[in-house]
Amino acid sequence: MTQVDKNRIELLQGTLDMLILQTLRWGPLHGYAITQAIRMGSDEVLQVESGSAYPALHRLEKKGFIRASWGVTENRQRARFYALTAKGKKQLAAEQAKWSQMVDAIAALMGRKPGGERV
Amino acid sequence: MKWMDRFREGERSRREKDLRDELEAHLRAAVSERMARGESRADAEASAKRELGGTLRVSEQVREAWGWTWLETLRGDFRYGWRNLRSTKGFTATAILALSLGVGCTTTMFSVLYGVLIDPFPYKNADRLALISVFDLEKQGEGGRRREVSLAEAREYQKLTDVFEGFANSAGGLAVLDRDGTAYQVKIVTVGGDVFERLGTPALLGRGIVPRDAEPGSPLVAVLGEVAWQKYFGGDPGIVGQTIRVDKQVRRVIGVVPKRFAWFTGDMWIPDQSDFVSAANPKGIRLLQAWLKPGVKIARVNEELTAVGTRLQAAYPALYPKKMQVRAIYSIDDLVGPPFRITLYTLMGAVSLLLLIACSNVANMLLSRATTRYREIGVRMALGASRFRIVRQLLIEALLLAVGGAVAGSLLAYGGVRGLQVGLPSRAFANESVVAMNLPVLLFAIALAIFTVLLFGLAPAWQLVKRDRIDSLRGVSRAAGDASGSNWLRDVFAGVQVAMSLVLMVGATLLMRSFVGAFSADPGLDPKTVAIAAPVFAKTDYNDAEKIRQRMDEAGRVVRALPGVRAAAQSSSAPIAFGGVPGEVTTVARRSDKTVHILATGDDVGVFDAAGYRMAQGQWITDSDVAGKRRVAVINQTLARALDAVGAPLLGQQIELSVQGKTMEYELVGVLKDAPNVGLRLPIQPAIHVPVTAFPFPSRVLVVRADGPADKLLEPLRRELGRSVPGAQYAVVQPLDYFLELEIGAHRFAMALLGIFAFAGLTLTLIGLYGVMSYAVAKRTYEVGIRMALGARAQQVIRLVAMRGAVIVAIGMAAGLAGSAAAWRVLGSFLGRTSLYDPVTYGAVIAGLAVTALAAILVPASRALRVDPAQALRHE
Repeated sequence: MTQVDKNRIELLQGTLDMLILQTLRWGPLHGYAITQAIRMGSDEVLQVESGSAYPALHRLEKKGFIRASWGVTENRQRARFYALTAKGKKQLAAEQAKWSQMVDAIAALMGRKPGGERV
Repeated sequence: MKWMDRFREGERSRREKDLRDELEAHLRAAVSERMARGESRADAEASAKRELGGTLRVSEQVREAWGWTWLETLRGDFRYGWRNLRSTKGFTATAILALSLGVGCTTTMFSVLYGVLIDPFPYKNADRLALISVFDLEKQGEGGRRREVSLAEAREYQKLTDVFEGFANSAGGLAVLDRDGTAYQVKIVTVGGDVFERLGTPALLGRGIVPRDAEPGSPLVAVLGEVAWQKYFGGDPGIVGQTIRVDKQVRRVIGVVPKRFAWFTGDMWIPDQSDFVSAANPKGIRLLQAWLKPGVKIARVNEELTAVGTRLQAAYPALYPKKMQVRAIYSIDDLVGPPFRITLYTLMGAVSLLLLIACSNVANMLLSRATTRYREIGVRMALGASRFRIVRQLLIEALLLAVGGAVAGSLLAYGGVRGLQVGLPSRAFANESVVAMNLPVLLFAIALAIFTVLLFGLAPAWQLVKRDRIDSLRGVSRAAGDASGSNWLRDVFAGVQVAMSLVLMVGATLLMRSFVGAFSADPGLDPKTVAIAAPVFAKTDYNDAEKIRQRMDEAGRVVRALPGVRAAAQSSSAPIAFGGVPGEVTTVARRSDKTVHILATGDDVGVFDAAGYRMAQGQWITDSDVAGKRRVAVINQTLARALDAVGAPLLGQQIELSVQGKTMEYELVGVLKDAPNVGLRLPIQPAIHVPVTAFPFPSRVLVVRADGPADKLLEPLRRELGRSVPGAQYAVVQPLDYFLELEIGAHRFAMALLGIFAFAGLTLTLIGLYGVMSYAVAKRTYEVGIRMALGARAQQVIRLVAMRGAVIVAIGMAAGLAGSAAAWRVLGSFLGRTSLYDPVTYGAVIAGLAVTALAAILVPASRALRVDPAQALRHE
C-alpha cells in the first residue's frame, strides 16, 4: 500500500456532486478529465473512483445541473463533455455556502481553524 | 401504450450506446495517459479497467441513476418470473390450484360472515342498535323475555337520553290491502316519525316517513316496500301520490323503499300517530329499539334501564315480574341466533384449516423448487447480483403466484357465493343481509392470497440467499439441501396437511352421519304434504275456549271440503315439528316414583290421519271422547318405555298429567308408534295426546294433509279460511316443511360446506404427499442405485423410500385424531343422536385417509424401482 493510498479519504456523502460541479465551474470537461481534476486538485488525497463518478454525473445530468454533449478531446478523441447549466451554477453556490458553514461549525467543535493552527 | 414503449425503447438504446461510448472513451483516455507515463499497453489497459471498477457494474449503477431502471429491472424480473412459472407449468398449475382452493373457499365463507354478521343491515349505526326487553330472572332464556312494551313504558325508557342517542319504536302487524276489490293480506309496520330518518336508507321513489307525518291529525300516508310495490301495484312508477286502502283507511303513498330495507319485514310502513304524550294506559304495544351512544358500556345501559323498570314495576305490577332486569340486546345478536352463529364460526374455522392445508402445500412446493434452483441462484449471485435482487426476484415470482391464486380464488369464490345464495338456510339471519362478492370481500380475497404467499414464499427465498454462494457452484446442493433443514420442514408441512384433512373429514362425516340419522327417523308421512294453519282470532274470543273450538271445527269442515285435502283437524300444536306444551306425567299407581317430563298435545280425532300417526297398542282418541270431553290419553312409545320402567301393564292405567299448573288424571287408552315430535333432528321426546276438549290448551292450529305437495294448497286454504270462518281471516298458513327447514337448514348448510372443505383438503393433502414423496425419491436416486447395484430387492427398496411417507401419515393422523375430538365439540347440538366419538365415523375416515395416502405414497415410491443403477451412478 502506498503512502497516497493511506492518506486517501472516503468522500462524505453528497460531497462528490459538489466537487464535480466545482470542477466544471471554468468550463466543460469529460468524465475522465473530471476524475483526474479532482484527484490532482486534492493532491491525490481525494481519489474519486470512476465507478462512482459516472453515476454521479448522470444523476446531476438528470437533475438538470449539468448538460452533456459529445465533443473531441485535446487528443482528438471523441468524449462526452459535461457543462454547468444555470441551475447548476445556482446549486454550486448554494452548496458552497452550505459547505463553508459546515466546515466552520465542525472546525469550531474540533477546536481548530480550517487549515490553521490550534487556537 | 405501444408507441410509448417504442419511444422508450429508442430513448433507452440511445442512452445505452452513449454510456458504452462514454466508458470506452474513459478507458481510452486512461490508457493513453498511463502509456504516456511509460506503462506498457497491457499494463495500462488492465489497471485502467481495474480503476474503473468493471464496466458492467458501473453501467448498472449509472442506469440506476437514470431512475427508471428500477422500474425496468422490475419489469425484467416480472418477465423472468413469468417465464419461469410458464416453463414449470405443472408446478404453477398445482400451486395456483391449491391457492385458489384455499383463497376461494375462505373468501366464500367470509362473504357469508360479512353479509350475515359483520354488515347485515343497510341502516345507519346498526351496530349500536339494540332492542329493549324485560327479562324475568326466574325464567330461563327467551321464555322469560318480554320484547314488547306499551307506549307508556316506552315513554319512560325514552327519557334515558344520556346513554341512548335515539329511539325507534315499531310495531308489526297484519293488515288487509284492498286493491280493486281484491283483499290482500299484507304485513304493515307502524313506526315512530323519526325512525326512517334514523335508519337513513334512501327511498327508491318519493320519500320516507318524516316526523311531521306522525303528528296526530296529519294526513294518512304509507311507504311501500319494493317487493309489495311490484307485487300489488305492478311496479307502477307513478305510485307516489296515489291513494290506497289499507284496513278500510285511505292512505296516500309517499314513497317506495328498496328491497333491502326490511325493517320488521314489512310490506308497507305507516307513521305512528298515537298521541305519545297522553298515552297513559299500557296499551299500544311497541318494540322499542334504541341506538346506544358511542362508547357507552352495555352494563351501564342495562343498569339505567333496570332502574327505570323498577319505577315502572310500581305502576304496572302485572307487567314486571318480581325479579327482573331490563336489558338492551343488540339487534344483530337477536337476529342471528346462536345456532347459526356457531355454524358460521365453525365453518370459518374449518375453512381456515383448509387454507392452512393449501398454504403449507404451496410452501412445500416453493421449498422444493427453491432447492432445485439453488445452482441458478448461486450463478446469479456469483455474477454480481445483490441479495436484494435475488430475494426480489423470488418474491416477485411468489407475487405472480399470489395474483394467479387471487384471481382464480376470486372466480371460485364468485361461483361459491352464487351457489351459497341458494343453499343458505332460510330465516337463520336478518332479512336485510346480502351475501355477495362485494368490495370488502374481494379485498379480503386478494389480501389473503398475497399475505399467504409472501409469508410462505419468504422463508424459502431467504434460505436460498443465506447460503454460501461458493457451495452452490460446487454442486453440493444435493447434500446441502438435505442437511440444511428444509427437508424436515417439508415433512412437517405434509404431516400438518394430513392432520388438518383428518379433522375436516371427521367433522364432515359426523355431520353427515347425524343428518342421515335425522332422516332415518321416519315421521310416518312426507312433511311436504302437511300444512299448518294458525288462525288469529279477535282478542275478545281468546278467552272463550269453547267458541274457538267451534270455530276451528267449522274451519276443519270447510277445509276438508276443498279438493286435494286428505285430512284436516285441529290440534293444540303442529305435529312433528313442535311437540306440544311441556308438562309432567306420573302413574297414579306409583305416585312416589319420579315423574317423566313430557310434551302434551290436545288433538281432535282427525289429527291421527292428518299427522300420519300409527298405533302400537290400544286405540286413538274417538269422536265420543272429544264430544264427551273424556279424560283419556294416548302416549308415544318413548313415554311408554319411560313409564314401563316404573312397572305395571300400561293400558287402562290412570296417569296424572300436570300442565301449566293444572293437574288432572287421565286413563291410558293407547300407545302411538314413535315418530319425531320435536323436529327431525332431535331425539324423540316422551309425549302425550289427549282429546282437544279435555284440557284448556292455549293455542290451536289446523293440521291439513294434502294428497300431494301442500304448497299448492296454501293459497286456497288462506282464501277459504278467510272467507268462511269469521274471525279467522288472518290465518297464518305454512307448510310443515317451513318449520322443519328452520332446524334442518343450518345443519344441511354446515354439512354441505364441511363436505366440500374436507374433499378439497384431502385432495390438496394427497397432492402434497405425492409431491414430498416424489421429491424424496428423486433425491435418493443415487442411493437407490447403489443399493440396487449391491443387490437390494424391490420390496426393500420400496420399504426404504415409502417408510418416510408412512411415518408422516401416521404421525399426522394421530395428531388429527386428537385434534378432531377437541375441535368438533363445537358441533354439540348439531350431532343430535350421533356421538362425538362415533366409531363408524372415525373408522371410515381413518380407513379412507390411510388408503388414499398409501396410494399417494406408493405411486412415487414405486418409481424408485425403475431406477437404473448404472444410470443413477453415472448421473452423479
